[in-house]
Amino acid sequence: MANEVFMPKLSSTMETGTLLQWFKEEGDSVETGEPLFEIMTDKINIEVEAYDDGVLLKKYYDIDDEIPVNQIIAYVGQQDEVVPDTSPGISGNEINEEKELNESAVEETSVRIEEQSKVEPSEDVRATPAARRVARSNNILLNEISGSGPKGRVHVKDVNQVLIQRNDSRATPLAKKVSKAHQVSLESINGSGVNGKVMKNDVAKSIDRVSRVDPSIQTSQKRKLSGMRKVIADRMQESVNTAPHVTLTSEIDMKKVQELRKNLMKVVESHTGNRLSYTDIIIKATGEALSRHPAMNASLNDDEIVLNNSINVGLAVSLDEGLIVPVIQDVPSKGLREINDHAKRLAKNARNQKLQEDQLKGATFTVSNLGMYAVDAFTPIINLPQTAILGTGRIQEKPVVVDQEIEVRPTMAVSLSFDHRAIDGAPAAAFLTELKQILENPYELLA
Amino acid sequence: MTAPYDITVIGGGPGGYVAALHAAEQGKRVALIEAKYLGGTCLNWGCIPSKTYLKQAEIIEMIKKARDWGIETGEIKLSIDKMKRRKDEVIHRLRNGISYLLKQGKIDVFYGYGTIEKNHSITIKTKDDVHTIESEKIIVATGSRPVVPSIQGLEQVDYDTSDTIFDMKNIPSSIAIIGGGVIGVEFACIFASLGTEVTVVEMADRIIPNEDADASKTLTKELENKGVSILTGSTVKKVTKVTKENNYSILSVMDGNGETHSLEAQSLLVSVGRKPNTSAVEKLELEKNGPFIHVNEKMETTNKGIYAIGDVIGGYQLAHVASAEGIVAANNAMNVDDQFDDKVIPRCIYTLPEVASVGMTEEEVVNAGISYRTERFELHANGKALSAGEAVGFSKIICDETYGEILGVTLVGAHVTELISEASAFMSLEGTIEEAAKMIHPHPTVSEAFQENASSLFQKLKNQGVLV
Amino acid sequence: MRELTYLEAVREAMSQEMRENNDVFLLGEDIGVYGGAFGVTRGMIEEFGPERIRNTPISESAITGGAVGAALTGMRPILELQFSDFITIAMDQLTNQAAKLRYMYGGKGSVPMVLRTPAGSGTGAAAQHSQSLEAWVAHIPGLKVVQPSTAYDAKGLLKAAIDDDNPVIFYEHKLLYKTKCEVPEEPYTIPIGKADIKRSGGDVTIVATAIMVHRALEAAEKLVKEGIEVEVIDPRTLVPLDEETIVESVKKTGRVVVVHEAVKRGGYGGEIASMIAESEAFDFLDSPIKRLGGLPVPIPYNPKLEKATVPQVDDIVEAVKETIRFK
Repeated sequence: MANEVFMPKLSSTMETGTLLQWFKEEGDSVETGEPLFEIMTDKINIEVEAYDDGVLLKKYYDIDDEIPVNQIIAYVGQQDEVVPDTSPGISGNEINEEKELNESAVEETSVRIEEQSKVEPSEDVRATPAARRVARSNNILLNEISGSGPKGRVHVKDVNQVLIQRNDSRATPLAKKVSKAHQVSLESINGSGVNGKVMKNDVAKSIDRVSRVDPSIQTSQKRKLSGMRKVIADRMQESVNTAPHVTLTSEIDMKKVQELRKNLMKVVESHTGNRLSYTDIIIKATGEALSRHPAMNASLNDDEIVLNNSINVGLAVSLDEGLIVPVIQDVPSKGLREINDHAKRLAKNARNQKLQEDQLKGATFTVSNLGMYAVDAFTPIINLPQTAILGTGRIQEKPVVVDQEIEVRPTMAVSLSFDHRAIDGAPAAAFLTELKQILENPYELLA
Repeated sequence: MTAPYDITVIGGGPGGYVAALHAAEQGKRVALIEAKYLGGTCLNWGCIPSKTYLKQAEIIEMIKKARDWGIETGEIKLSIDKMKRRKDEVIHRLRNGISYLLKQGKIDVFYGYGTIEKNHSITIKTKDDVHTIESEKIIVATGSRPVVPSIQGLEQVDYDTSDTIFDMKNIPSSIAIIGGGVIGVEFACIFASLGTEVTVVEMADRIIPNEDADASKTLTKELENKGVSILTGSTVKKVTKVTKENNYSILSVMDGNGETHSLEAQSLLVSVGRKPNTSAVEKLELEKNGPFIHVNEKMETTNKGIYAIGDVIGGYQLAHVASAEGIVAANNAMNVDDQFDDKVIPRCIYTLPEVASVGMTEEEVVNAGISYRTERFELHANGKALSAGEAVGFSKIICDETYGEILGVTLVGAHVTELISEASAFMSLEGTIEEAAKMIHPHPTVSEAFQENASSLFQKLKNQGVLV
Repeated sequence: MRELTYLEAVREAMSQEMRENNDVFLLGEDIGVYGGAFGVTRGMIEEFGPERIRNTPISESAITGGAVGAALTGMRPILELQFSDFITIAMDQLTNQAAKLRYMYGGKGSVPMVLRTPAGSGTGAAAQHSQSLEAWVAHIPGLKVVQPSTAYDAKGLLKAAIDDDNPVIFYEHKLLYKTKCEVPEEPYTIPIGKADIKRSGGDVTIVATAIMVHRALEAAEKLVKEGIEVEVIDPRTLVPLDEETIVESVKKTGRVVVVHEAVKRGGYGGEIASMIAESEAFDFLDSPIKRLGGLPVPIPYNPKLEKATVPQVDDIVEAVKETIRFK
């Protein structure tokens, strides 16, 4: 009778584990207590040992597979025993379905599951004295806590985390809704209800404290956060909340861009009817820089970093109702004339609310230009799932040292915000440096 | 002089005896002074006797209804004596229950009128004796009595109030009820079922004016179906005695248009409101709130150590509110910090159909300037109500637009006084319309109406995207 | 305020005391014209004369025995051993005489003497001149053990040691002799048995002695850049030990690193760690107690190896990070 090997549940919060490596191959003999494979949970890496002697008959999963708790990963049994070709699913479930498995197997399984759950009775939990003290005084069972320390040792931090979660649940549904809407953390609120349950009024008081509205301030009108405003609000909030933003800034000498623009002005205007703008050149330069730094042209979806082949640059356009970001597709393949044509058309359509759905989709990078205002530099917020955004300020005449001489040069500050989850500082810095070089020698755009 | 007490409660009604028992449970030496009967207005001249009569009224209606369903009985014969006797039995039984509890709690009960002296000692005056007791803290729970308005000629005729009407000797052939509040409409129901010709005269533009207008409308219609005449926006200007053998009175009633009509009735019930019994505190210079005793949120009067609860402080004038206030007063008198929370107070009217409500009425919500949504679910779409032949009524939920906070609920229909606590529970635990919509209710029950109501309201809010 | 070196502070404490109290005198090898092995007593013979600055033969046992006898007769001798390694030769006099006599005489006699001696490695003095043997004497009931880490502490503690009616072993650290800090001119005492919080912090407690106080402070500077706030406690005296200050600090931080230069095995850090584990601070520990001490080898002569034998700043930084990893 072959024995199942399943994904163990190592903590109360564990739902899946990722298979890191197999120590045995199919056909290898294993002994009880020998490590079979290594898994990674949300907390720790751990080697899982064999519970039975025998031969590793079948492996159902490969390295990097994410496997739910109790899912059958493999079978250990006697040589030549027959086991299913694919994983029969959750351990214990299939017993009812698969008639061949007899009663004793059921017993065996349940015994093993029992042993499994016995792994962490309260007394045997690894926990620091301080963690025990805090758990004791808050009536938390240590075996309900997954420890972050070595070998799952529970530290004060882990207990506190459980406390916070617990407190979180100690709020009335209404209080939760109000706190969520106002982005107030429930942890910091002392509840006035039974057992410290947080009531609506407690949240209201806390909001009051945070944002006490001065009654002497007269408000002219109130506008409900809805429609486009609400979408912007949610997306910005989500971005700030989830993506660790890092912003790099650099100052760029725009002298040659100025020359280039002047020289090309007539050519472009005669073709498109529009004046060539600095934004057009910046978009082109950005596309060029992105093509040389594909890591910056990435999206972060859940736990995957996707390097995008097409380089589509979103251009932030301000409307009365809010911000909209039409997209210029495949920037490197387009010349300045085409970019100018596209950008102007998109901006115009945006202002007339005539943008097509697909003109708003597919950006892999965003440029936000506030250069028309008296803005030197700013820290743009990334448009998720993109991983970076470029913000450009105004072009200003500034004294610059060139070859040991002070010269007046048009300079522009650029800020690159990137999502540190996907991109590190060095590659982002390299990209920004590249962009600076391109803009300071823009003729290479024509090459 | 008797040994000093920790707490003395003046008044043995639902506020007073609950306060006394609560203090005694915490080991305090407690005295209770009652002028007449334990149980107060509620037990002796209010909630309880009216409910026994209303049950009888319901049975009479049931029998009449049963005829249409093919259940034939003989002619209904009513014995007012037996009906009264049953009422008295119920009262005695409950009164004995209280008496037993007080004895268990080792509470000294004094029968007599208690008066607080300037030095805070308490004089107890009985029929043949006056003595004084000393007490650390005092809780005044002396209740209220019916108001008799000054109407020309009223003193010259025989009239009843809720204090006397329960002991009527005969079923009157006709009755005029002055005041269409809770007491007025309950008696209208009782007498209508007894075959009496009932006229309700109400000053406001609708009966039960403190309840949601929808409830007034349904109840008006139902009372009228029972043959009750309802004169709203009307005032009784004058009462004249008619020299007939049966004590008839003629009322001059002025309607909303200023026209005067006359109305003849054999009996007259005055139920226009209640005023506080404040003789116990006359010697103290307590701050008043109109005619009522003023208290803070700890139920303490302006004299330290003297608390007041129940009808004597005004407010809701409901037995369950008095009891809750009694606990708060007792706690504070024992130096346990406590505050009265009036957020969720259910109100019940035991008419046929019943009216039960909690929280704000739609009018109150509008006046408070809260942006809200409301919807009604009619009982005639409820299987259980329909099969029981009690399909009149509705559930009406009012919730705020942002979070779906349940601001108020009004239920009209049979048994809804038992159902209102579900709404109270949601409000008390701050469940929102969303939770109410999602909670599973047993089928078939009248309680499903509440859920259907919540669910439909929630769906609409959700579809409109207004909820957070 | 003026600054003094540790060495000058020790000398000033002795000179000031000798000017006030004729019973105080010094004895030791080459402490006269030569000024002692490290020059601590330089110039003192000129002021106090050879009667009170007494050169002795090269016999630690004799010096100590002589001091015990003098102390019993009412003098207050301060004896200097050139290197604390040679306390081994004086051990019988210290252990069986100095430490016990007051008890054995039922309090009718006492031994008010101070034994000053430089300890520690770092000078290239190799195996026999670099040890830190303070745990030996800390083990003997009847001896007080002082280990100052700054000039200020040295002056105040030495006065307290001279004033004390019991034998006090006063450890000076060779590498600290040239360290400077502000020291008041007038005499003052620092009570024996009172620890000093050299730096406050909430994340980890470091209990460090002698030279390790300075290394711990340096480590703390590095750690603060990583957002780790270290509290550095200098017990200053090992016997009696200020348990309260240490326990309170550990209760606050929940993590502790004990660091001394002496060999870790059997070192005084074990005593401090055990004391913490036995105290009410136990319930506040959120990480195992960490000890840092010298390796169990004789101090090598090679300067690189010599350094590698005893805890350095980076070792302390690492140890702190280890205890805080699960913060």
